[in-house]
Amino acid sequence: MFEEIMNRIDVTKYSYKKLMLVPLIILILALLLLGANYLRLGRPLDYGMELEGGTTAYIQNVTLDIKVLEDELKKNFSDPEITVRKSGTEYRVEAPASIDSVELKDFIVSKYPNATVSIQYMGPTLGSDLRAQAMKALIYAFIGMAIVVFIVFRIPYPTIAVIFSASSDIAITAFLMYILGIKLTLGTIAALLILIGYSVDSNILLTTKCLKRRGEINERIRNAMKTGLTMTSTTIAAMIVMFIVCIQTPILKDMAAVIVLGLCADLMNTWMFNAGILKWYLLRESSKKKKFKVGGR
Amino acid sequence: MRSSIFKDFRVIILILAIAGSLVAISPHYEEGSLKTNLKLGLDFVGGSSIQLKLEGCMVEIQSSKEKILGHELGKGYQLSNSGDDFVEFTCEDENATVIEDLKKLGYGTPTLEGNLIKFSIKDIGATIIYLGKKTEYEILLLEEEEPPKYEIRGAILTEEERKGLTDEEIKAKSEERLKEYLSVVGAVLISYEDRVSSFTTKQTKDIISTKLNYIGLKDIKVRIWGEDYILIDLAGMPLEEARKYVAEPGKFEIKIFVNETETKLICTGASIKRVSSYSRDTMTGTWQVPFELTNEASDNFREMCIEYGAADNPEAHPIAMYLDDEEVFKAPLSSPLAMDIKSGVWSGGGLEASMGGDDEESRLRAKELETHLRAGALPVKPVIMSEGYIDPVLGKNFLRQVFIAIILAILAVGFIVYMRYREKKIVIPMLITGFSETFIVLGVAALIGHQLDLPSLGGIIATLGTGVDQMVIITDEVLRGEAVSRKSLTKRVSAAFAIIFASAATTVIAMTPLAYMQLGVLKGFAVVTIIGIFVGIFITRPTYGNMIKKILG
Repeated sequence: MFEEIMNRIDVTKYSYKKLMLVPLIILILALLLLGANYLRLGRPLDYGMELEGGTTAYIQNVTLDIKVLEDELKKNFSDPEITVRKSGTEYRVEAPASIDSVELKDFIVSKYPNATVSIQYMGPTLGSDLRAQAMKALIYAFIGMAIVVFIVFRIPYPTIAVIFSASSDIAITAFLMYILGIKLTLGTIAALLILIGYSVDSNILLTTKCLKRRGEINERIRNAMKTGLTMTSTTIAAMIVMFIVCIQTPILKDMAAVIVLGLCADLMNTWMFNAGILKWYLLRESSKKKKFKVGGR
Repeated sequence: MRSSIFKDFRVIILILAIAGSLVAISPHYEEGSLKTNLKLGLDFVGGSSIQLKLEGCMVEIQSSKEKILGHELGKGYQLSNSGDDFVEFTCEDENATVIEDLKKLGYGTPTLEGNLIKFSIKDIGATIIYLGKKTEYEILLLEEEEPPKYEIRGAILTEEERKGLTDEEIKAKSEERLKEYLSVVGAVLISYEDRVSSFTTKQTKDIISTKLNYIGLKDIKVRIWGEDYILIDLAGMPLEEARKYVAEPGKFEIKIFVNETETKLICTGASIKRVSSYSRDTMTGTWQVPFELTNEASDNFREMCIEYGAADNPEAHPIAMYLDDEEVFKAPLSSPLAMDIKSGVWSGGGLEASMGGDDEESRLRAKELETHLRAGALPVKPVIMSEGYIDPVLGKNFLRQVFIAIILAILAVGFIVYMRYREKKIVIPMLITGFSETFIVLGVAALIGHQLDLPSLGGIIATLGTGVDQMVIITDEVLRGEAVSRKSLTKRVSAAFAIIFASAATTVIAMTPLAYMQLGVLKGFAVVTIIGIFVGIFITRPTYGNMIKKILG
């Protein structure tokens, strides 16, 4: 079965230049949308409660009518911004930071005495502090990654390709998060960071196998692809399991979702784009060598 | 072939590491439930968590005592001479009135030398008194070097004034208000920092811990979070109760011994107007904590000392202090104070609790008493920046879910690997390595006392991902092409390791900023991921390499 799939998606069978266009076009679309968001809202993605500030209650062990609870809450706290949502077997009440968390909890418990209610309040100041620091961590991580990759390969084109591929992974993942309505939270930021690691994993594998192994170029890419696809599919499988089992645990569920999205973006970027760059680079190098020989030295 | 696997050096290391982790985690039955050495965070045990920020700011101010006094005394103030630590001046008003005025203003007592009023005061001292009066907060000197740095222990704007303003606006307005205060006395605000000093943060943290310890909550963790925040985790406690303990002052009482056993209440912590930092008495060199009572409490203090005989016979009627009903200080009135009370010279206000010694032990006792005295009131007002409550039932669910997820994830990975290689000889060592790795990471976490929260366990699943990736790389290198000699197999495994090291290095580098992020919410995730990568590279990956070499070779 694996061989079958492998044959069907063997990128070496197609024109690498045409293949490279696909991830590029998607990346440009992603950047346009994120850029438009940034200009319009001052942020590329929506922030979750912990980065924005607000009060959230998580209600479990009870079945309730979302509309009824929402209306009651809106009336009691005279705040139209309170929303109630259902995710899995859990209900989530989201309220602005001005609502007192203990009062919110007490109100819910008074309506549903058997419910287990957890509550989280995040002040807007702390939220913006966290945001700034998380962004810093993401930038440092990226710079650190770029330095390590450069030390490993010490050749400009492949290094740039790996770094480009990792950035493209992050941008396309953010784009997919926006489309699916996944907000930027501490959990999803952690997921983006670990994605940098995963993305570099598959690209280092491909680059090493292409530059440091012998054999025909397409054969080297095919070999790397076999290993790379196994790697990525095992991780995707582990994350899908985490998503399903932890569907009630928002932080882990979101992390898993983002990693799965990112790995899909990475499959495309690594095997359609980065493989193309390497092929182009290797063909150019070998044609240089040939010219050298003709020169008669 | 199989028997030789267990003689392999690497396999022995793996077995030792698993055994070590088992000891570190030490699962055991206690009171009918499974207990381990793993430290579980609030996410799993349930309870409340509160993050506080302290109100106050740090300022650098260039000021002169002459100008401050000039502003305070107003008309006819004529400076005749001044030095580093004194001023001499004349005034239009009667000298006696001026002296009384200065005393009232809180600047201390000047002396009269002929026609001149002489007054020892420094720039810094004058600034502290002036700012203290203007802001009505305690002013703490942080650095003496020019320009001196002070801490204002409270918010410049009132709560009313701050309503509806953004953080930036509040900061700008506070700075403006301070500049107004300073410009009238010819002083210049050099810098303004919208946070309290680390000294104050630490002091507040200590006071909160002391208070929580005194109510018998010994296992509570109070930590400084980032530089400016204080984080308090109260396992198993509902939020309303947690708030009460954290933000409300402890019950502090000052009592007098009527006889050997019986005591009478003089005043409570609410009557303590001000507590100063513990210091050495300038005369005797003994350690002491100066504090000040309100007028009402001072009257009470004097009357009770006379009524119960402490003024006549101090030794028989000591004064004692209690924090939440526990004695924290007990000493008789000093004989000068007893005399002053009896003769009516002591008009109230300042008192010093003396430790009666100048040694290190007395110093520590003075420091502790200051903490106790302040437990009646924190040095600065804390503001709740974020808080949360996790239901214990929910916490237990989280834990169960995560462990099911880890086990199922390993099995799912095994399935995919089997689809690829169709070979049990590869899948089984991989599964064994995957499980051992997770177990060893938990063992290391138990060993270093890392508190496991939800992101930490997310990190375990993330390392599992990289771990399997690396094993696939090794397997594919070994399987490459035709069967070859043992020697070139070893070469291939090391080729695989070149790739593995590079990718491990990038992941460690990518995680390090998170591990060091000031507000360590995701620290657990980063720390566990880094532990996992190191365990992989040094223990489990080489073992897998050797196993697969032996099995396929």
